[in-house]
Amino acid sequence: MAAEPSPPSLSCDLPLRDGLPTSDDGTVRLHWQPGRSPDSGEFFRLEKSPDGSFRNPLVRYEGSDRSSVLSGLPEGDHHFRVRALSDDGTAGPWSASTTISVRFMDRHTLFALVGTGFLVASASVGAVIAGFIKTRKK
Amino acid sequence: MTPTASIHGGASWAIVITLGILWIGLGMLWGRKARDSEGFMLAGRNVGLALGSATAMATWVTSNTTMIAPLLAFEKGIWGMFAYASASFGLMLFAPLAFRIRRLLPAGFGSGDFFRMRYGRTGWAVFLIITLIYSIAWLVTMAIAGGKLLEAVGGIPYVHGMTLILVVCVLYTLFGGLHAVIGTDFIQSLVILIGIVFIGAVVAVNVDIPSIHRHIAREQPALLDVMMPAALLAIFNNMLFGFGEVMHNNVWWSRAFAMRARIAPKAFFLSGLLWFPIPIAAGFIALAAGPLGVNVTDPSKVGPQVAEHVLGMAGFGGFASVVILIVLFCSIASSIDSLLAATSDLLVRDIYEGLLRRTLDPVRFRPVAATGIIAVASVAWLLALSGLAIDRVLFGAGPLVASLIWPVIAGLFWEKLNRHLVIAGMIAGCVTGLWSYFQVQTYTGALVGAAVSMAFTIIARFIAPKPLSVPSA
Repeated sequence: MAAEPSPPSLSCDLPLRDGLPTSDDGTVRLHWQPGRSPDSGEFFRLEKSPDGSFRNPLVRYEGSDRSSVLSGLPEGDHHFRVRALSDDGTAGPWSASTTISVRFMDRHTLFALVGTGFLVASASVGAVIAGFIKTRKK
Repeated sequence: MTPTASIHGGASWAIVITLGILWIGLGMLWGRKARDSEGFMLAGRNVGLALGSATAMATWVTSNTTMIAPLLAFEKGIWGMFAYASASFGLMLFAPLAFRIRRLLPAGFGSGDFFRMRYGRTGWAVFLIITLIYSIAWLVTMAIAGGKLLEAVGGIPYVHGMTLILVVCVLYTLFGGLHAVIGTDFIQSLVILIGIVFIGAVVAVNVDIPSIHRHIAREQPALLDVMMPAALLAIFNNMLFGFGEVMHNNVWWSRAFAMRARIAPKAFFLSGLLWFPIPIAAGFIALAAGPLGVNVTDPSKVGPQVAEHVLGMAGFGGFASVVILIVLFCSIASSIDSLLAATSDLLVRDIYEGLLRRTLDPVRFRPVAATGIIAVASVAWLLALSGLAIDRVLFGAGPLVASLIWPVIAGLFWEKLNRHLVIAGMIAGCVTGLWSYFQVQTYTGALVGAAVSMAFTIIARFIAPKPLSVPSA
């Protein structure tokens, strides 16, 4: 008797914040391992949804790879799932949904750091030009 | 899909070995000009504008330009492309510094001479530690990138490819010194420019930019977000990283000494201008990954992966992979050779002569220089076996070099300083920058390191300043 197919396992390698894997730049690396499938399941479909219901999912990848790096995700929670597809189009069961949070740096810290960067870069250029003008005839 | 080699086994080995033999042959030919240590280390101090600009540009087109610039665009979007291009300002800013360096140290050999003269043995020791760590880190990133490139495009196993590229660069640098490095850089810069213009033109003709924009706006909207924090931080972090790298590293100082005095500032400014569009072109290619349906599994390979995909779409097939392999091999070799030569000079001048207090025979110098080159390459090879993420290794070293921006500016242009405070600033900049890199955000390390070091250096101008040492006649 054939064994029941089991779903692939989906994971990511982001640090946890408030219990959720969290990205601070909208980039996530997802990887998956095939489950037990009658047709080995060498082909996969990765879907993303803004909510856990997957009512309007977006296909983010279809192919034989076992990982994908997605970039440009906006702030908020993003839900992913993956399933194996056999050569004849039969779909295996979905993996458990993985929720990833994208949270950018808070604006106060950002402006403080960007302001500091602007100040240091401008001061460096200014110091070089001033120094050059002052010393070029020495 | 995952990058799989488009040219296999024999063909890719043949291309790489042919290029390797060419560089080594040229190294041996040009190496005949290096009759003494000054000829070997500084190419006789007689390099002109064309060679000078080409070597500076080719050295700055590293594996990091061709592989990390696309990575930044892929992960950080529009600002990511400009973030990497901002490193060109470091080359341009080095133009007035090169003028001053030649005035202050007319017979100098490298940046170690400057730190020893201006900041004494303690400041020089701090500089040596920082620059050796950074130079090795930079070399490791290029060796890793070379190994990954040859694996992805040429089907050569990672360790074999990484070893091969290091061995080729070590051999021609050993034979020819800076003569060989600058000469091969000139040819490599032409190959890189022609290759990137060709790839860029094919991409521009074969992708539909409005549809790319629509796809990104729908599925990767953060890439178009002008307020994306990581991207905004990357601009200033990378700019300051570039300032610190160019201002302190012996790669650039040795070129300033190798060029004719009047040529050096023009060559650095021109090379910065020529370099500026290269990371933008390389980055733009990566933005098309999502819209073209290219699945990215390793962001550091996204540039060559998408370029290969588009060239394949345009009907170039295996030829596309050959072009990409040659261009990227040249970009990696042109930087590895420079770094090997410059770091070995530093070891010879600062460790052998400075620390061990040995005298280098200007004629029988080669065994010492060769030992330096092989030692540096061996350490890099061992570390590169790990195959770490190149952006992590590179940006982790950013705080170290950014902490040297202000000590270099002040040491070159100011007459009085409190040296102890400046040295304390270098160390504090490194520590706080590394803390910020690990604890706050990846793209804050160089920014914070530079800011802290700047604050210490400015204070050092006003609290108990003493006249700085001047070079002895």
